[in-house]
Amino acid sequence: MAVLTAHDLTKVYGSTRGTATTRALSGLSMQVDAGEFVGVMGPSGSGKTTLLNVLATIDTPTSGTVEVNGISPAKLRGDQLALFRRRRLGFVFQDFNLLNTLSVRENIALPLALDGVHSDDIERRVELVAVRLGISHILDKRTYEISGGEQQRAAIGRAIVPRPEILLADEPTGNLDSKSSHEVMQAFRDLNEKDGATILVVTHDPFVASFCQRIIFIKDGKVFSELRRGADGRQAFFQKVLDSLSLLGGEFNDVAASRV
Amino acid sequence: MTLLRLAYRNVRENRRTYFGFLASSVFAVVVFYLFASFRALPAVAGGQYRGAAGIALGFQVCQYIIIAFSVFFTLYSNSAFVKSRKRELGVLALLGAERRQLSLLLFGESMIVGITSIAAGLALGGLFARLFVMVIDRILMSPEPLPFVIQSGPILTTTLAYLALFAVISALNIVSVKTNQVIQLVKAPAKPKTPPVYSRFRVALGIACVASGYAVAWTVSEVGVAMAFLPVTGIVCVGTHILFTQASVAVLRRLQRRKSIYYRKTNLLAISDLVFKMKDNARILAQVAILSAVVLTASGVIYTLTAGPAASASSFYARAISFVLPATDDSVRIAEDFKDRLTSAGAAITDSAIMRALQVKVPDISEKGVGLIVPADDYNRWARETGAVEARLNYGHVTRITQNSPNRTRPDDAGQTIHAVAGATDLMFVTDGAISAPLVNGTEDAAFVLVCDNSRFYELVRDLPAEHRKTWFSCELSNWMRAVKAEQTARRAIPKEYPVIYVSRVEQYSQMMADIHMTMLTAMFVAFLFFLAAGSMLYFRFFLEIQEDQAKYIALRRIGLTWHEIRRIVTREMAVMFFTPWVVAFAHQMVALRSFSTVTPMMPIEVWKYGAIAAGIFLALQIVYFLLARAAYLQELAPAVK
Repeated sequence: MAVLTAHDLTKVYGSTRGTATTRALSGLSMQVDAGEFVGVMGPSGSGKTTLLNVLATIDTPTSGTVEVNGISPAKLRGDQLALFRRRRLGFVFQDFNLLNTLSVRENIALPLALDGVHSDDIERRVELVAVRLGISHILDKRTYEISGGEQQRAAIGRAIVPRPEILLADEPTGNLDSKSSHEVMQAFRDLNEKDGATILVVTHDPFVASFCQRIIFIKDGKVFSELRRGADGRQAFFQKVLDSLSLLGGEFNDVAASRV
Repeated sequence: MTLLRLAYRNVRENRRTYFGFLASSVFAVVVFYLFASFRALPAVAGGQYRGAAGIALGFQVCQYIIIAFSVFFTLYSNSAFVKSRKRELGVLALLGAERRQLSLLLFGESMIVGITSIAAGLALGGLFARLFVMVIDRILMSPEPLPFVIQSGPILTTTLAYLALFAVISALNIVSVKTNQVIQLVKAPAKPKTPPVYSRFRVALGIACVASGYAVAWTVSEVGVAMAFLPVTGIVCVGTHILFTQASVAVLRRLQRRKSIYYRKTNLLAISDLVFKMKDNARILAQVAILSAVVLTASGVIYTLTAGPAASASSFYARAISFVLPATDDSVRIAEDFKDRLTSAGAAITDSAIMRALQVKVPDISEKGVGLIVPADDYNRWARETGAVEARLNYGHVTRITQNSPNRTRPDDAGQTIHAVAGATDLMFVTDGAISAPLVNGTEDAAFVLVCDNSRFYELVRDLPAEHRKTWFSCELSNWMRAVKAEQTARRAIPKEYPVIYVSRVEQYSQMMADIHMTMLTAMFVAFLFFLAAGSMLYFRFFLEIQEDQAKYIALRRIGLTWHEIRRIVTREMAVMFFTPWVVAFAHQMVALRSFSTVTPMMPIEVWKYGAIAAGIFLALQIVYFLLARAAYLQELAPAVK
């Protein structure tokens, strides 16, 4: 069953008169099924950030449609759209996006509190999520007192605590060292395998992508190719990803051999 | 490009950020200047009415508070600027600017702002003072222009005080920038804030300060007020500061522990943010609270003073108008004419009396004053009309009319002999005591009034020389406070050549009110400026953090915070910042007014009533300011966040 469907997405930036325009997306279609762990990869300027913003309803496509479980966010306006994001989508950002005025516990509790969940329920659900992500011991710490990996896991906690239909992650390890990256990706995989969470990760890092079940490669705003993990182990899949990337071409500055 | 030019450029480019700071500084200068000029006002400095000395002291305290507020405010906003521009300074340091150059740059910048605000403040202050004189002249229609002129003294004081203040504070801030650590400067904005803490001891200390100040102010007697004034003000100011820095955090922390409140919708964001905002702005908020308390109390006092003269005039002058004419064929007709003119000019006469009288001296009652003897018939006619005690006298007996405690005879000196002197004639009477009735107007027309039995009176009229015979008119008006015009019209009934002794509460009151109105208008005006200064300070504080807030709200928008919720959070945070000082100021004001009521003839509740009116007006203005500031803030936030 498709959780997320994007059909024929086009996004054109620039002046409406058509003189100096940039085509970030040109007729991109894709689909994410329930329980899938999908990676989107592409070189710099391939349109992957634009794609994520459009899927995240932060940006609107010039043409084409996005549907999340049959609902088209394009039809929602203003605050309705914000509520849609809050209840149906979970976000994980490269810069964590945690509030440093709040403790880890409060950061995770935030979406539930905003939605008017009872305080006892909030406490219980925050504890559950914290156990699942292995951050129970740092719940009462401030965001600047914990490591990057812990911060990102807290951010994942905040994203999954309202039980979203799909979790969208934008370069979730972009600010992390290799050990923390491993922790965070492990957390994503656990969520996917044990809880059946549907996850879409946008990255240019083949190490991150190697945790996914399926990878969509995009180039010049279009789907270039697709790679399924099948029965491969992560190491083998990583090799395949690298091969695909060399086929794809373009700039991948951040591929660190040390992460293999 | 010279350093000064760079400094000028920086100020110009950052003018939006500088505007709030500049505006607040300008207001501080304006208010300081007005107070300085106001203290030199003859009505205040000369002590023309009761309580003038107290008011002068009050204004002096106000001036100190304004200077203290300016120090805190300038220190605070200046360091906030430096902090928000550390990155820029870091880049300059990276490019090889010497520490000396950076210091000069910062100093130049704050001096540009300082000099601009002093110049603008003095110009505005002068304009306001001028405008103010015009308004007062218009209201009072006074024949001679008021002496509220632009003086060089206050200008000089203001300029020197604020130049020194800006210089010292910008120097202090320069010290705080450690340019030897470029990396710290460049990375400065990323430093996270540590959560504010409070100590129970300090909270208790703050409460103790305010409570003891309140207790003294509440129980102080009339004698102790002047002595307690400064120490109590001092201790309450200190207490207020501690309460804002410590108790505000304590209360919010407590709210954070109450999960059922804290986790309810946007409370989580608003409260957690307020902990920081309150702590960061505690000193400013405390200053605003103290300022507002001073202004509110002063307004209450001034309002009360306008009510005071009416009461004191009434107690001093028992009759609205009274005069004594030499008794001639015309004198009764003149008095009747006076009365008719008064009525037709709109004065509402409640009672009046035209009495025959004899002017005598009684050295036992008054050494120099001349008193009147009136016949029992004339007195009793008036007494029947007004319900006063009538005089029943035997031959040769008199009774004295006093204006003390209404309608109670005082037989204390009954039976004694009174010696009176009329020219060369010595007279003897037996006194029956005194009757208390509101008939005798002060001491100018009659130092005393004796009612004499009719037979003896007519004998005296016959025996004494004509120069002792008088016609005495007096009346009471229900609208005496507004009867100045009617009185002036009626007075034309008395021919110029008549030697008249004329006493009027109407006239006295209108003169007293002229002085007080000026004071009141000045105070209201200054209160308004105070209010603008306090408001602009809070506004400025909020705008200084707008970029941080913008970034935060953009982040929250991404995870699905609605614009509606953002508005609600902003509204709550702003409301707390704008109205907590008012609440504290209101409490301070009520206690201060209670102390003040001991030096007035009024009950505390009456003084509170006037205070509450002042506080209400202030609150209404504050609400308007809050709504405007909130709208401006949201408008600024909207493009990036909405």
